[in-house]
Amino acid sequence: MVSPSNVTKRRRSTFTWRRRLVPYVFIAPNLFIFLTFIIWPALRGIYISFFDSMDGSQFTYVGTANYKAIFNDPTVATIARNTAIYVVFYMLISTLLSLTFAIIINQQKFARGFFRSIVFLPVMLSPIVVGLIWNDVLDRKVGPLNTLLEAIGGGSPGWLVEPKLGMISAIFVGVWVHLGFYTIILLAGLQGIDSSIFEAATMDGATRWQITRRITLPLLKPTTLIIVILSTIHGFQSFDFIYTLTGGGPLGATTLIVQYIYERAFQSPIQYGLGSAAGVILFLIIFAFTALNFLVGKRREAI
Amino acid sequence: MRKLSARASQQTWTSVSNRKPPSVGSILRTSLLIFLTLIVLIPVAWFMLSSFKDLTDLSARPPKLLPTRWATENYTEAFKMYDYVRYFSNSVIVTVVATALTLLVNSMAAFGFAKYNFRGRDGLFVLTLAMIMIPLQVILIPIYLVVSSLGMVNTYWGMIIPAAATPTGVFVIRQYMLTIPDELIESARIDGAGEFKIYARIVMPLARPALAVVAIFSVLWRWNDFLWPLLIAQDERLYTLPVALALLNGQLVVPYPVVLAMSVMSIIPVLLIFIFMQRQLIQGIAHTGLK
Amino acid sequence: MKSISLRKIIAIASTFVLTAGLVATAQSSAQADAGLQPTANQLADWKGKEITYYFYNDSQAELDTTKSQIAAFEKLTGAKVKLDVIPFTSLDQQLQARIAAGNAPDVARLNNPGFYYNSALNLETFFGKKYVNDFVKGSTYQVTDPSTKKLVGVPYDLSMNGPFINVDQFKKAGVPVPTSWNWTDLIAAAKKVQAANGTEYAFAMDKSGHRMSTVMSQFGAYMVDRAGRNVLSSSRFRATKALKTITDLYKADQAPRDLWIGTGTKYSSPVSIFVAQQTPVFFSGNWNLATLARDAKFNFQVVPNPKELNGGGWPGGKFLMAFKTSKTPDLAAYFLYYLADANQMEEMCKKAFWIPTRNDLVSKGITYPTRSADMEIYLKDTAATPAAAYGIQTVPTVIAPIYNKLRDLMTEVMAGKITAQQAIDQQIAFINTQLATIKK
Repeated sequence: MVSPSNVTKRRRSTFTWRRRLVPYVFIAPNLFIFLTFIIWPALRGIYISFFDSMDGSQFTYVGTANYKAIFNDPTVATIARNTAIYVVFYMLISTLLSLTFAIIINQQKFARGFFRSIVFLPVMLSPIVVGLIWNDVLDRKVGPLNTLLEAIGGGSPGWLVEPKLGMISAIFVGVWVHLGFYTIILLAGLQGIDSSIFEAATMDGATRWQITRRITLPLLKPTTLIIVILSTIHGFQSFDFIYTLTGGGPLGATTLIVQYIYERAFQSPIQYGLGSAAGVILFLIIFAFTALNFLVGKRREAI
Repeated sequence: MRKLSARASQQTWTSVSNRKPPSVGSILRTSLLIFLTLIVLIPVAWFMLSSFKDLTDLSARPPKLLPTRWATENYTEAFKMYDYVRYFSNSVIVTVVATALTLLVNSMAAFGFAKYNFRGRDGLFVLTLAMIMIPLQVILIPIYLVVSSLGMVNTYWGMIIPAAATPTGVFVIRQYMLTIPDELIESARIDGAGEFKIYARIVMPLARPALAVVAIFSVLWRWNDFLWPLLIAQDERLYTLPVALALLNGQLVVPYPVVLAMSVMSIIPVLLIFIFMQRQLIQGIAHTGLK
Repeated sequence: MKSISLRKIIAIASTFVLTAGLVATAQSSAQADAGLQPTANQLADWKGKEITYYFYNDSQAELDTTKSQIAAFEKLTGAKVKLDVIPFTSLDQQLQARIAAGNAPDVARLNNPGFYYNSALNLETFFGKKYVNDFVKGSTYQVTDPSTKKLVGVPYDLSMNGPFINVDQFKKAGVPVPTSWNWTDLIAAAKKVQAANGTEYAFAMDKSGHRMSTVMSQFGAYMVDRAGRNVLSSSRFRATKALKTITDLYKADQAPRDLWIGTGTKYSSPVSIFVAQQTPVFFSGNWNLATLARDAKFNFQVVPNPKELNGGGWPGGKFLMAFKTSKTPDLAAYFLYYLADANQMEEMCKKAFWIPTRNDLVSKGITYPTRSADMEIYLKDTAATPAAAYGIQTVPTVIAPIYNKLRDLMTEVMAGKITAQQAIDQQIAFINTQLATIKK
């Protein structure tokens, strides 16, 4: 005979047992794909970094020689500096601009959907297309930008052929492409803020700016942290569109670390081991930065 | 009190149309938005115009705004050179299936991370996050080796599965799911609902904005992805649009006008998808029942 | 990764050799006939089997001709050939990936045979030691495995560098089409034509150390000799002169400086600038002939290479290799043999403006249906190319880095960061480090 207490006990025990197993079931498919297609290859990549290989099938053990080579290579120092400059500016500008535009667009009553599409449009372009567009627009002689600048007496700077200008162009194009990505994430975050808070504040007589500063920004902290973390990571991984835009030039000014890795793996002389070692170093750097961002964010109660 | 009087004084401004004058803030806002629109649209419009120019127009100095002659042969050449219809449908297949898979797998994982307490949860989540940080070029060859040993080279699944577990997707959805009140879930449990039902019937609908965001991202990434499909698809039958574009762009002698035309053609479907999904996005956000 | 047992190789090889007997006669007969034929056993074996041909093309004509030759091969053998067309810029990247994963193609057309020695089939086991004599001496260096000294691939086409000119523009400027000239003449003519026509540039060259080597050769400077030694140091002065000749044009923006500097480490060719008639002289090579013939809406012509100390041009080429991992190595080898056979090669040369690498075709001469005058000039330049130009081909594993470094140094000179002299000095040092990596 089933007594009430028995039933509750049994239900509770199967209940908790299922509860304990269930989360694993939920994360399992994702984790499985990760393990098979990202983690395992990454481990192999680490393994390869201690070898030298010219063709991916024959390996010679070299210990830490690859790492030593990287640290002693003067071109790597330049590449590291380029990457650092790029990441810092890219991250700061992206975060600032995406916050600005997300808040503005969110406040916008007229044609909000239009502006959302506009800001997102560059994100939809493939890296090849982005490179083609800006190669054309920024061309020193036949590009529309310089034609415009000359018409108003601004000269025609070599955007893609002067090293410093090349870096500026790369940062600009990078921000241009990804701004919509970050803005949309922030917009989704803004939507999650209860609008009654805004209504109450407006009724209390707060100005738009005060609302933004005292209410919106603090509430957006978790999402802003996402943007900071993502943009840092993307900054470090920038390669595709930069390569189409400048090929790493002019004179190596826009050669960042992923290009270094790419060239070791896919251009002669092929050095898989060296490329993998650089990849490991890059990963550790990104990891360190992300952990830092995460911890600072936690301190500021953004998580 | 101070604030109230400031507002009151604004309203005593005498104006014919009885409308408030634009504040500095709104002028600034509008100009920023206009600037944004111009800086996005002008390069893209220029690009689209360029796709109708022939070689002489393209190297004209100073550059011409409109083509002297609308070189539509750029587009027809593109069709002739490559089996555009096939590449297009391959792109569609891969993008759609991959996005569906991504949404399913990522949202399940996000749900697990957001709403449960289990051993190793934080560690696994950090691991998931860490995966964003590995640049594809580094593990390209090892992934290829794995996929090959599984016999998935030159198959649609080979193009679809490996990138489906996007860490960014899990990240974004989880962050959003954190804001879904636990009480909703608890009350459903007390009502006897199974975990999967809670996930499917309660949490997923509420997470629609985040899902829409990830869906759009996934569509974009897969549509424009070319490095991986280039490696996996060894048969022309499996080539996607970006692969075809890379083929054109990677030739010893690049047919530049045709490349432009093909690029424009590859943008249009995504544009249409976004405009369509954008409405879903708005609706999804509007229907957020988070009150 | 499957490997073929030695016994099987010998068995296959002997079947070919037994049926051959025609290799020797093929060279002497005026009409090159089909050479080796497969045996009935082999045909039965091959029926229905499929091999993969990994291929890239410089022109539509090459693709079309390849497709028709494949169709003929399929009819001949009853086997199937799957054609994989790859973009030129991802050639090695993809091939490496496939080899690493164990699904290498059976046959590939490629640029850098030096990377694949370990994976390629030894063709001598199939076609005998004399097979290498079918091909122009010097063209097989890059496909001879330096450690085993065996032939592991064939030179498929010889490319020859040289200038194109815009005949219409030359006429307008009143400059006669040159039949022989040196670099001073060339530059003077180019500038005159530029002035008369108002073109943006006077001169344009492919962004490549390989093309630069042509100029250096004409000035009498070489980087590596046929014994694999660094000889740039002994021709320093001449090399600097050659380098300066080109970089001065770029520095003054009389050649497309932006295109060169702004593309980083990527290859770029100013062919579209030539087609757009913005440069009267375009220094490139015969692989562009087919595309120019199709796309140029003006009269253009190939002209002889300028002669300073030496005449002639600079060789390059593409190669065919068959891979050890093939499931039907004899079929793969035979496909390679078929493509490189006199009949097929002649057809390809005629349609795609290739220069043949086979001795029989070179001595017989090829009648090109169109643009025969241009091909004449290329062939003459090929013959006039000094033997020293083939020197660098003896160190195939470091050819690409050496050319690329030269190109990068040129970029720095054009940007005014270093002088031509310093560039050459740095190149000398670089060649030394590269040669040191070659395992003896």
